Amino acid sequence: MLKIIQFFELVITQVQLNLKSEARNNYLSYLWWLFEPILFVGTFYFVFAVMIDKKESDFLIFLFCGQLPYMWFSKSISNSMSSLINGRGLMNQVSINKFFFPLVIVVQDSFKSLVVFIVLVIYIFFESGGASLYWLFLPLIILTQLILIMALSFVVAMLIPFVPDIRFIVSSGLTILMFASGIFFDYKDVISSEHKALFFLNPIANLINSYRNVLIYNQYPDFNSLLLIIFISFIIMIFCIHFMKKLGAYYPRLVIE
Amino acid sequence: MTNVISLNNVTVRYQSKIGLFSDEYFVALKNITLDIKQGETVGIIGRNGCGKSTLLKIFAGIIEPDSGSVSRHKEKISLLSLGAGFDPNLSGRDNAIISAMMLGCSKKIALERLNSVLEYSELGTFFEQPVKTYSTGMVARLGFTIAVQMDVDVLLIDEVLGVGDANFVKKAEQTIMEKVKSKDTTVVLVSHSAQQIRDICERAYWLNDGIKVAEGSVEKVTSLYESFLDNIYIKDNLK
Repeated sequence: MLKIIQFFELVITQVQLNLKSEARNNYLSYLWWLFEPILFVGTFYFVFAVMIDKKESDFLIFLFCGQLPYMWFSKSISNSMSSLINGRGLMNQVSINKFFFPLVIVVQDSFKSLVVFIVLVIYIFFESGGASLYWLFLPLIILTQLILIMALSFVVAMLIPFVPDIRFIVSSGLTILMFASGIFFDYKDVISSEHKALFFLNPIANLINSYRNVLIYNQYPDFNSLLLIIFISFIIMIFCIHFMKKLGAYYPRLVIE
Repeated sequence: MTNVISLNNVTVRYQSKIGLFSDEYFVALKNITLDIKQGETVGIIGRNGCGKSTLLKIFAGIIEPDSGSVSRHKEKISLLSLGAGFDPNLSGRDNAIISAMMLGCSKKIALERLNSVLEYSELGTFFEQPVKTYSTGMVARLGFTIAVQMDVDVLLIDEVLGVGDANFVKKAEQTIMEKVKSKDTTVVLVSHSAQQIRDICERAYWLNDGIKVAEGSVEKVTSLYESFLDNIYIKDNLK
């Protein structure tokens, strides 16, 4: 038990120091957490609202509710891909649980995203003139997404040292998800009813839908899909833990320069 | 005396190329059997690429063998390394905290030890500066200091004594000697220098191309090794 507490203390300290180190690398340091999503949403807004002239009052908030969860997901996954390979120096010097490396990435990206989420909620509060009780479900959706991200980060981090080619599949997959998750369109307008089931096989589409239900439409999130995501993610994590027990000691040799 | 680490027929291979149709392997250790006993100081000698560092990684539990077995009877076995994992953007202080935690300290203890790290490493005001401003010697000093302050049962040292300025090297050697004398700590030193092994160790193993060539008293093993090196030298000159 003491070891587990110490392990998480180590993860948190590493995240703190990474954030500090990263901030020192750029002139605008922490401001990039906000600027990056604003850049993306600004571009989408320009294309869809200004050029294609799609006039809906809360389209900007609609875009943010799609883009922020997507960016959180895609950044965590793509950063996790090389986490074990980047950790080769460390894992060749100390005997350390290999989950450390993707976990640091996930906690770090999640912390950044959480800060941006808070800014978004404040923005919506002032824009729509008040809060709604449905916002209380927001932590549940965020937690579901966190569990999903953890499970998938572990998978990509663990598989890529064995089969580096998976990198290409994952990066293409993330780009496809950006177009397929309904970030800049409303599935109710675009997807025909026969393809709705197919659209919602994508967990990110489900999460974005729930975020919008809660933050824009004053509705409940889709509990069934959230629970299903949590359930599947836990199964994946159990599989990962089992896999790591057997193969964890191979990584230092696998990732060596 | 009780065994601290025992290796039985240990073989380690590295995959040198991956592909769909061909896998290539490089064998780093071949059927190594040896014992490290409580409180002794053991030298591992051999030329570059003979498998010394791989052997230390096996001792430390960083890698597991492909065949054969390892038993480690102590929990705190630590590889003394020189800050290869330092973050260049962070100060010496921050790096000292995280490195100590990596080696198994709680955050509380890591913070408590900062003052003695600062004092021993002789970094002065550089301690608060980012590590990217450090010279190679300063990085080595910080790394050695952090590692040597850990309470470990088995200390594994990978040719690190030759770094830093002459004064610091002396101090480092003294600290190692104190650990050696205390008999609580078991020390394994890896080196390609027969002199260094002779200075510190009681017993030695000689590795060549992943095979254990000789073992026994430090005088016997180092003199065998030196005559082997002389032979290579003579052969090269005759050509």
